[in-house]
Amino acid sequence: MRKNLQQSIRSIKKTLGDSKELIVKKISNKKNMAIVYMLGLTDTTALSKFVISPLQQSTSKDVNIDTLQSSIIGLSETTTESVEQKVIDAILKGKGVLLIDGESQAIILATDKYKERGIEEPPTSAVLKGPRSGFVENLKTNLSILRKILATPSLRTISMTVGKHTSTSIIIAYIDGIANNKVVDNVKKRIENINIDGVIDSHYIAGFLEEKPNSIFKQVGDSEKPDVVAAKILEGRVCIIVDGSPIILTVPFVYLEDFQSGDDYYGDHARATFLRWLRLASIFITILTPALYIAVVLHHYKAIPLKFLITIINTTKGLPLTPFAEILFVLILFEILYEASLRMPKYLGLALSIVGALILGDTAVKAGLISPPAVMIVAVSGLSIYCIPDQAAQLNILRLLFTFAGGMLGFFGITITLLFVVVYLCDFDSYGSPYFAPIAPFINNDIKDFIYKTDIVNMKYRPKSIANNRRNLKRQGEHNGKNNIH
Amino acid sequence: MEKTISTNQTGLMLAIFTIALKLSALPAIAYSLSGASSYVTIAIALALDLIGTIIILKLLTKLPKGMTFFDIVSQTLSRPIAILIYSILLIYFLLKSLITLQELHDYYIVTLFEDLNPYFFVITLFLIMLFMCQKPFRALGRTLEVCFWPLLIGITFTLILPIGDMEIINLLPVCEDGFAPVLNGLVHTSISFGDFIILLIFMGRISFDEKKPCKKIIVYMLSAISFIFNFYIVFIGCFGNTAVGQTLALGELPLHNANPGTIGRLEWITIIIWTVVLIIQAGILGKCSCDCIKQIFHTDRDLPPAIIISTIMTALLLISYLQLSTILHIGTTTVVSIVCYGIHWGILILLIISYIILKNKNKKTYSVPHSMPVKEHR
Repeated sequence: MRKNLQQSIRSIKKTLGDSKELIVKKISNKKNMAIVYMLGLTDTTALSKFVISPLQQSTSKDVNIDTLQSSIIGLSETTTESVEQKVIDAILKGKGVLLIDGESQAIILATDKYKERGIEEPPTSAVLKGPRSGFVENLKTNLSILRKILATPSLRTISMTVGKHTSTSIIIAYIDGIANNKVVDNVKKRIENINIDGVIDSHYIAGFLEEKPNSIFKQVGDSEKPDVVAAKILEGRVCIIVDGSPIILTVPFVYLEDFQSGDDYYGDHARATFLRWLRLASIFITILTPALYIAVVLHHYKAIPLKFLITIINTTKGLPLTPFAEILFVLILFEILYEASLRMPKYLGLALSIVGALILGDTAVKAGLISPPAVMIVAVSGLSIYCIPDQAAQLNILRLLFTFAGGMLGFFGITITLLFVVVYLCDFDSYGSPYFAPIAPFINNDIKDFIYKTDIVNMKYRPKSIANNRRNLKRQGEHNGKNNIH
Repeated sequence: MEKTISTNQTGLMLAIFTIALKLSALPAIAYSLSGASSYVTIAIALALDLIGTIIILKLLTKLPKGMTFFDIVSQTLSRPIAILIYSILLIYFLLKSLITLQELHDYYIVTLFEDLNPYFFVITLFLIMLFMCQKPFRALGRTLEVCFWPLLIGITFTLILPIGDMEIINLLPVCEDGFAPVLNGLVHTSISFGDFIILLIFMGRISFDEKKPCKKIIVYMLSAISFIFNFYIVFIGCFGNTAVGQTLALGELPLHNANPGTIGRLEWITIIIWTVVLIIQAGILGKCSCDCIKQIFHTDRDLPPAIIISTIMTALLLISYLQLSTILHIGTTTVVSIVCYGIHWGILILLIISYIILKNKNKKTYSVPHSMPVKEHR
């Protein structure tokens, strides 16, 4: 920053293109000063009450940065900054900046205020019983929500800024002593290395945190729910909060993480176990049902019990499409309906579902274009996909892949594809955590919170599947332990 | 550095390796050589394998961590000898993988397809082999961990489905024609045994448990042996004298008592699971072959050896297509069998010799003041 007030103001105005929203309020007391802020982003009431008025009424003889911060300005949060670019970034973030003639530093005033959405239940992860609050788009609010749950002095945060034109604030949060320091350093290093124009949402950052960016499989956990993120942090994960996004990222991520739902921990554990099995089954139903149907009808009709075979023959008799083309046609139709129902205005949604389900489905069957088993198979597969909504994108791709394999090579193709996928996933590590843990490698301690859900009383240790601090695995008391994961 | 594999993964890989090649053509071959006493032949051969496994495991736990079989032979004997041994192993693994892939093909023909397109089959196998050969052993070990429960289901169904048709009379009396047929069987079937050899390829990568380092591996091996023995009992019990004609036991046995009411039910699970087993077995063999190439040519790259091995495997498969019986006929000749015994036990003896030489070298090193003994590196 320049020592000359006029030069500083001119430089800021020049950088910001002499914007009309840029307000420069000059104050003359013992020294010439100016408050610079952006109209609409700054809380002008707070600025007048706690900064401008005290400055005008001040009778202090010695006006310098220290006395201004300690005795005159009534705001609780003020910092000093000497780099002009950072001062400009602060203005753009809604902060007020106090420039003092003859000083090479500016005082940054925390007077930023946005109109933000209230804390409400996130639409993507509603729970029957349990906390209903969700994260919002404001980083500070999100951090405060998290701090309210994790009221521990061990909760550490690392602040960073990413994006040439957005200067998006990012906070890495973790619990010291539970999280693995190597993971924290790795995340920090990856974020530091991001060189991008702008960060609009946390998923921009997720892409840079992935170890295999070209993979179709999800590698970074995300959640809109503070209770879920807090629980993950308590297990030793590191969370990444991005300003402007209600989705909080967590790493390391293991594949079976999405099988867990918030509801599992707030209800009966036997019911939770049943639901987990149901979710597991739904994955197989989603990706394998269309493929198995095609494989059986095209290649292995002998595999079907006779009565069932007769039913299929009767319903598919005289169809113009082959079973393979038929299933593909219905699958693509289903995807079109799904995509359209997402994008269409809400009031048209009901009409669309009627058109889709009744007219397209029913009429196509009646017209003899597609068979009822094909519609039923795709419908069951399509419904199952949303038992694990976070996996929907990759399951969609896998379903198509398996359908092709089943159509081309029958059970052999399905088996080979299944092996491809399993070997691929088994070779995967997410920040030192085996992606397919606790199944492969088999980790006995963690099975009780994956394949089945045990009572909270019996969950005495933090998951060993996660690369956390191995010397502090016990959830209660102190524990020194070692664990080798292969 | 290569990622380590746990004892659980090692045990599973060894168990699969032990099981896979013994359930297809071998039962009929063993029956043709040893008659109704073929299960005794198998029991003795498996017991020998168990002894070999225990000896290798004991040595592996005593050798310095991270030291491969190639390293130890290079250090104690010489690098050319190590290259020669790995070249022999390369051919051995390729031959075994060829048999596995042929068995997979025949298995599919018998159980699922009547008109499997050979080109689709070979191209798909080439792709999966190429993919698996690039992956570390750890990935294959983890894959087997995922498959563990389905495998157990497959094994259970394989044994339970035909058990109702068993006739104990087919198994008795034990060694009716004396011990000569048993010996004949032992001499000619060595190509299907000696699976402990893969432990030499895993050497330096296994992360042994601190307490009872070999326990899990031996338990898996014993389970595999017990399953194979029971499979032979059920097979001979079911088929009796007609066992000679059952050239694909694994495919025939689950379907043995299948009446129309059971078709489309349990045996399909078994078929899919055994397909997975055979492909993983071929994958492990392919990976072992890649490892041999990597050691021989002293390279760390994964892709070129994987391409070479999968191409060779595919080419061999195409050349010998639909000629499993011919390959097995060659494999069970006296010369090949003796060579195989030589490979299994000769290499084991070589490991023991290398271990003794290394131990003596270490002792000498200890005697030299201020030197760094090898033992301290463990």
